Amino acid sequence: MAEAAFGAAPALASVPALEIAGLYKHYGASHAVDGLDIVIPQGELHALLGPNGAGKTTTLRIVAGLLRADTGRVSVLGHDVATEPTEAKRVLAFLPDDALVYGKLDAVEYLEFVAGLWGIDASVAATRAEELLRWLELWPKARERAETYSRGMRQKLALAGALIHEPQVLILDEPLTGLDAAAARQVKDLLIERVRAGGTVILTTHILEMAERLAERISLIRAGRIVAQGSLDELRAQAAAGGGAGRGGGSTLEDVFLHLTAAPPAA
Amino acid sequence: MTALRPGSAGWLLRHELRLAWRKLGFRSSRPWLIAGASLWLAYHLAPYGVLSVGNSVATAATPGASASEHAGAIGVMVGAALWAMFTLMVSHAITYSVDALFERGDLDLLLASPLEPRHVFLARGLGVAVSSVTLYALLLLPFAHVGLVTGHARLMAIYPALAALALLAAAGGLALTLLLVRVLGVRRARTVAQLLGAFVGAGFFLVMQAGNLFGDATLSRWWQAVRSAAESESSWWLARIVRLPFDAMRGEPAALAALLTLGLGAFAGTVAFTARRFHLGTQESTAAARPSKPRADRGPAPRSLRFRSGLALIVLTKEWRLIARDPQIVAQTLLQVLYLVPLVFVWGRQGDIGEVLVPAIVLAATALASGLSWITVAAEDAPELVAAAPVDGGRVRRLKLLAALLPVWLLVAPAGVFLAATRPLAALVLGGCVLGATISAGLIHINVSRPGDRRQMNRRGKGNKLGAVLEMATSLTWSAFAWGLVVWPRYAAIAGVAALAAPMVALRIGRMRRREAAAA
Repeated sequence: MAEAAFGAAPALASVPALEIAGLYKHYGASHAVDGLDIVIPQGELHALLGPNGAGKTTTLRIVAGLLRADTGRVSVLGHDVATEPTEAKRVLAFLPDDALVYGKLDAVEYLEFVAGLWGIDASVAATRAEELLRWLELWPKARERAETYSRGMRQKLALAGALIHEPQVLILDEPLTGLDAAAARQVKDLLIERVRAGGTVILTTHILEMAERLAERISLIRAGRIVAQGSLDELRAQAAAGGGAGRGGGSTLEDVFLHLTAAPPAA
Repeated sequence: MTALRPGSAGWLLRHELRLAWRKLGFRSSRPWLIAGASLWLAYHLAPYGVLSVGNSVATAATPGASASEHAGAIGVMVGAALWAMFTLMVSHAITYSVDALFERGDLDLLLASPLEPRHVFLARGLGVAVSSVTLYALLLLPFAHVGLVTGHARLMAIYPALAALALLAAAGGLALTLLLVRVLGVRRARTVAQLLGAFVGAGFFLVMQAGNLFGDATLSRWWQAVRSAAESESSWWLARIVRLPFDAMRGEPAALAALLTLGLGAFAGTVAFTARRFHLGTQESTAAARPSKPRADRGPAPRSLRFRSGLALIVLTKEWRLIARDPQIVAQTLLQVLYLVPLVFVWGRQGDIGEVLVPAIVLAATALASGLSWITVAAEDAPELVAAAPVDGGRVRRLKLLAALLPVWLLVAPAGVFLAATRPLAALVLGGCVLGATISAGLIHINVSRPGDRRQMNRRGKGNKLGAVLEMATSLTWSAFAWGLVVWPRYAAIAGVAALAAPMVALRIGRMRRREAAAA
């Protein structure tokens, strides 16, 4: 009964946060996503790690409903993005690497707009906006237009916009680009916090250190498909078993990464 | 192909002119160049007509021959027209300088290179001069060529005189740009340049139409006034200055020397000044870097926030905020309306005001609606944010359209009320046609327009020829329909059918595109 009041019932814990099966997307002759499968359970901090042009961003844009896949099935908390786009989008926040903010709106107006798009109750959103702005240290500048913000501040504002509707699944594309050390630390803490509270965070990165430190599980993407998946230890083992890992067994993720992405995808 | 040494001022100027040429968007393929050149050759007939038939102009153009009683007055009038042309050149020079000095962003690259900074700014300045004079050179140089053939060889002085005017305009444009950017910021400086150009242009048009406006009696009285002023002792100096470009162009040595000295001196001085300003770093290179002052009425941060709710209110508020905070967009859209003012004046004298007012307002409203709906629909700053939101995309687009059209309807409303009092039928036509035309314009942008950057509003047609054609067709056919309904109601149906064509095509294209997107 209480659930009915919120419209969408909270997803059962057994439903995966993100499920992708047989995803293909090509631009002209090049296959950006080439038969990608992945299942990410709820409550996980998952990193998609891969070299430039591996298909990470394309995949995430399909998940966010910004791109249409050629074939394949994508569902977010059980909602198919092709057939139930509104339900899928409601539980999802997508944060591209280039912050989506309006230069001519101030931070408060921006959050009001985003909250309105996600249909968040105005008074709830106002309270949450203040919390977020204070926490991200944007509050003193909350009434200045975003065109006067530095790149890092715009990133933080976009992040506040993503969090204002309390998404159950948070997707970030290269989240730390342009942030200074303090802000990067804040974002990292925030992501860990959200996962602890039961949320799911999926991020792409080419910063190996970030994936290594943060993510519980890592998927290595190469040429539009997943070539390896697991915790760092599992990946290490996989690389070692895969055949005499280049330089002395490969102990860091960097070695694993270079080894696994350099080899042609297995099968 | 070239003997220009890389890094020299000439080499830089070539780079500069190539950029200017590409910015114009012309294709430099051979057939286009040949077509343009033949058109220009054909245009030589016009000065031929003026010089061989217009006897008094020809006498005025020959120094020393003051046989014609009108010569003095003609000199003053032509001189004034040339100064008006000069003002247009300055307005163009400002627009070009804003781009070349502040927006193009290659100045840092050039100044960081081991080139002589003086050469960099010299080339920039010459680029400003060449680009602002090109159009007028095409218009005026044929007079020099025809003069050579018809025995007025001294008209060849048009060449150096135009060059001097161009240098003077470049100097004025550069100096005004530095000043305007400093005071107003980059984008507003550009708007001021456009406004200057528009006002001079509109004023010029009105003067040309003075006969229609004021009647021949008033006009001949003016003519007498100009004549006596041109010949009187007291205003001799003023007349000299007004006549200066004309005298220089007809080869009067003193005038030409004066104009050349003025142009070269001003140009050299301004270029040196500009270079020093940039070298010392006293000129800010971007206005955006300057933080806007937090407005006092709101305070730095409020004690508690109050948000609006409801998708419609949210979208309308956001679009209106963005439009209102962009003085550039407001100015550009209103400019289009400004161009219509002289038309209304001219036609209005000849006929019934209702016949003119109704189609003119329909035309203006369509232009406004077109610009604003392009801004709200196509120039969304964060399209992916909106696309990722759990709302119906079609509903958001319709709301954005409403945000664009409501202000236009509000602007037109007073005219409707005014007409309703005197000519209810015309008011009815006005209301119907404004609604139809503005909604059609909006439908075109929803269905055909490509996403763009709002700063590119005036160039929105460039990437999308189809949209530009449909836009123009809508504004023309709907105002023709409105005019038909007021003047010849019997035949108006034809225009009415035409008026519906553009939105129908747009809808069809939109449906096709959506089907393709769904299939992909």
